[in-house]
Parts: sequence; C-alpha cells; structure tokens
Amino acid sequence: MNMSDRIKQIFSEKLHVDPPTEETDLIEAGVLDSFMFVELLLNLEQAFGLKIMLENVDLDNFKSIDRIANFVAASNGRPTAA
Amino acid sequence: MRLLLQHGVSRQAEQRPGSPAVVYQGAVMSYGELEAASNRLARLLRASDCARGDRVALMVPKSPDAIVAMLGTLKADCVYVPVDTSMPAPRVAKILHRSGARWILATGAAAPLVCTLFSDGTLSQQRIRVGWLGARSEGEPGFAPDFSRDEMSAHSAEARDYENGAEDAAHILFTSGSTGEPKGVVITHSNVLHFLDWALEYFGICASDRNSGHPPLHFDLSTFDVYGTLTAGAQLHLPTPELNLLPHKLAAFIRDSALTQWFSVPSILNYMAKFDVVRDDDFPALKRLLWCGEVFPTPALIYWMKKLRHVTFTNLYGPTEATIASSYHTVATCPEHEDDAIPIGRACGGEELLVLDEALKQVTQGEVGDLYIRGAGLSPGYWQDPEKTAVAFLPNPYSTDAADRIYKTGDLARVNENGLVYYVGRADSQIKSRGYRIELGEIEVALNSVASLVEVAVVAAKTDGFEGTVICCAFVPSPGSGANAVALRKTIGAVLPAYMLPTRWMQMDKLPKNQNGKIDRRRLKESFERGEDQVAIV
Repeated sequence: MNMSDRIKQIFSEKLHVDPPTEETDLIEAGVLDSFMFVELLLNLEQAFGLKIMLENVDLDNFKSIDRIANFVAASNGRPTAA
Repeated sequence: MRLLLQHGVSRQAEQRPGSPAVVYQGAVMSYGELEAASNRLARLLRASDCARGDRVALMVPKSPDAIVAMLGTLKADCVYVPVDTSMPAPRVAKILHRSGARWILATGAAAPLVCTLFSDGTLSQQRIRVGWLGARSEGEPGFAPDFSRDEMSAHSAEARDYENGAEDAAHILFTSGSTGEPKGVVITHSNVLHFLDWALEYFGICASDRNSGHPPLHFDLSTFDVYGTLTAGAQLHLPTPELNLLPHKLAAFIRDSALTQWFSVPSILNYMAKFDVVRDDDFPALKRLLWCGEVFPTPALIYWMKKLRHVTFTNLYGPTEATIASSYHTVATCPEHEDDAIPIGRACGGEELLVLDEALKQVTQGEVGDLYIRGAGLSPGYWQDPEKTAVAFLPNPYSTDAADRIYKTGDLARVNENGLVYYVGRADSQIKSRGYRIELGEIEVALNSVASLVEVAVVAAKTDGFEGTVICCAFVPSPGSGANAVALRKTIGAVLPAYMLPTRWMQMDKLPKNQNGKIDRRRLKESFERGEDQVAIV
C-alpha cells in the first residue's frame, strides 16, 4: 500500500470521509473544517508516530491527500512510496 | 435620508472616498472604489435585462468582490441570495429553484460549481443567467457567462435612482428545513436598518473602528459585520477561511490587523481557548468581543475574560427570522463558576421577547415557556411559502392590529427576577453546530432515501471537546447490503452540505425503542455521549 492509500484509509476508516480524488482541495471542498482537521492531525500522529505542532502547521501540506502523503513521507525521512 | 441599506454606505463614500472600506489578504478597497464598482455593477445588471425584485444568487467567496456583489445587487433594486459554494450542486440547485433566481453572480473558486450547474441542465431549465465577476485576463471560467467583469467599466460609476423602498426585500437567507427542503427567510432593508439603528449606538461603532468579518456571507450574522461597519465608515477586515483551521494564525490576524471589534459564533472562540492561543492582555486595540448563534460554554468565556480584561463581552441572541439579533447581554464581570448560565438578556431596541405557554399566555417568573419575538426585525416570512410562514409567524394575541405579529423561535426560555431572559433549550430537533442551524430531520430525510438501510436515526450528542455538539447517526443495514458509514456519508454528502454530515456513526442490529415503539433517541444520544460508537465501529 503506498502512502496516499494509507492516508485515504485514515480518511475513510477514522474520519468516515471519502475524498473524491487524491488531488481534491480538501479545504476548498469543505471536507476539512476545524473538527476534522484536529482529528486528522491526531490520527496522523498515531498512525505514523509523528508529533505535529498546530502552531507550526503549514496548511499547504494538508490541502490534498497527495500533499498529506508527501508531508508524512518527508516527516518520516523516507521518500514517498507513491 | 437613509431609506435603503446602500444609502448609509454611499454617504460614507461621499465623506471619506479614500478611506479603507474592506481589507482582505493585505489588499485594501476604499469607500470610493466600493461605491464606484457597486454602482457600475448595478447598471450592468439592469442593462442586462435584470429587473426590480429579481433574485440574484451570489456565488462569490468572501472577498471585497463579494461585498461589491451584495451592494451592486441592492443598487440594481434586486434581492441577493448568498449561496455557500462548498455545498453540493443538488442542494444549490434546490436553493436556485426555490428562490426563483434569475441571475448568478460568480467568481473564483465557484467556477466548478457553476460548470456543474451548467452541465446538469439546472441553469438552462430554470433560465438562469450568469455574470462572471472575474476579469477575462484571469482565464476563462470553463463556461460562457452572459457578462464578465470587464464589461462593468462601460457603465457609469454614478448611483442609480432607486425604485425600491424600505419594506422591499434586500436578501433571502436559506436555512435548514426539517422536511428536507431549505427555507428562504426574506429580510427587508428596514429589518436590517432597525437593528443597525440600535447596534451602532449601543456599541458606539464609529469610523475609527476596525471590525472583523468572520462569519460566512450566507450567515445572518455577517449582515451586521458588513452593513454595521460600512454604515459607520469603519474598516471591515475579512479573515481567509483557512485561518479557521489554525487558531494561532487567527489570533495573529486579530493582533496584526489591530481589530477593535470581533464578532463570531462561539465555536471559533472555543477552539481558540482550547488551544490557548490568547496571551495575557492580548489584542490591545480590541474593544468589543461579541458572539451569537449558539451557547458560548462558560469555561471558554472565563478563559477569554481573564485574558482580555480591557474588552467588553456581549452575548447576542436571535434567529435569522428576526434579523441578526433580538436580545443582548453584556457580561459585566467574569463568571465565578464554570457552570454559571449566561443569559441571552434583554430585547434590543425595537424588539420584544415574550415567554409564553401553550395558550400564548405569559408564563410566571422563572417558569420555562416558548420564546417568541415581536418587533421591527421580524421577517415578512419564508419566500413564497405562506404555509410555513403562518405556522411560525402568528398574530400577536395582545393586539388588534393585524400587522402586529410574533415569531415562534422554537427555543425554550425563562425570565429571572431581574427581567433577564435565559435560553433553556430547543422544543424540537433543530440543533446548532459550529453556528450552523441544522434540522436533524433534514438529515434523516436524506438517509431514509438510502435503499440499503432498514432503520436510521440522527441525534445530537454533547462532547467535552471544543466541538460542542456533534451529529451522530445510528443505522441498521439491510441484510447483505454491506452498507457502512463511509458509503452512507458519501451518499448523503452528494445532497447535503458538509456541516450537516454526521461525524459519528454506529452500526446496530436494531435501534432501541421506547414504550410507544418509537426510536428511543434519548438512549441513542446517551450511547454516543458515552462513546459506545467508538467501540462499535472498529
């Protein structure tokens, strides 16, 4: 399973949302509001052992499934599997 | 003379043409620019066959252009219908249909939505025309608009002679309806002007103010931001939607813009409190902090009041049907206990709050009754829906004047010994979540049309977190259908806006019933509040 698929799995299993595509702008599409965003960060922290500080978050990294996948891969120091 | 909403803005444009009116992402639109652009747009609309009273749907994300579109529509003697562009196209189509919109004004991120409405036939069936407020140089929107922004410059920047009067509709705001159909609340120029008369004086809003424009433009509250600020000659500062996700940056926005007034729904204030982003004596320029739309949890209010001792805190209350707010309560001292209830207070000028029993008799002091509103803010009713209007807007039982009406809010309230009104709860299944008014029935209607379900119920559960009330769904799939939360959310997400989608789901073998054989919603609500769904779904 590549990184984008893993992020998609978090969206569907934990957040109960199925974003249309990997490139969909989640903020513009109204998928990510403040509740969902905080839930997403918590789930990413749990699944990948990351520590994400809300005050340092760059939203550009969270705009789409692909961007989140890149962000997580970079944070783990590994190249994107996709 | 200040007969119409645009008059107050035009007067400021005459007095201070070079002063900033709207500030967004570092760009400033002056009063003179706002006046000229909205006059040109009004003339372009009228030259394009738009007639007095026509409904114009605004699909313009919050920006200076959106303010131009609102004013331009009013100046064309038309009625604007602000549309939440993040809603799914079928719901937007419903609003276009119900409002009988003849025009759409759109820009920027709304292009894909307008494209969808073009391709699914909505626009041609309803003969709706589109004005594109983007410039041609910004690229084609992907459809052929009837006019684009570039054509505005061919029209005069002088104000038109208006045909409308104060009792004409200024805008129609659509809210959730329990039967699955959104309801359009008609708001007149005079409705808004009456509130402004009281609010500008009570809050002392003046030209040196720098006010926030936080709620989306399809929220009733934004009417106060826009017209309250621009009628006073003050500056309207619009935060970008992304800031709502980042409480630290939102705090920085208030600080860096040196805002003097902040007005929002409580959930955003609660969010900022949970992440502790406000410093001691932060926002030195801030004078007033106002909230409206739902209950502000007292612990979060205490947090804010302890941090900002130089700021005045005011709770505003009122449904869309009574225009912006009908009552107010300025919290004089920081509450001592986290469970202290904050009253919705006393009626604003020109309004009256009545707490009545089933026979429409005033209840005794301290007793809970139905909350009714009477006064200058009352909407004429729901757009082209005399039945729903008659149910909610009743003749005043204490008056012989047929035009004297009271509006049944559906809220329960009591009055204390000092005449302060307290909100107690809802008499029906309407809830408030993040400031959005949501009929749980509308969500159930959407779920009941899903074939793969045997039973379904939607309840609202309170949580300890900053999110307050969350929407929860319990469902029983048909045998072998494989229905699950993700699929259900996707199905109803095609017809309902994102804020109406349940965030918690529980699959069950059958739903609990009470003695009458009805679904036991109280038990379901308690199950969700105990977090049983978290176990059930994994």
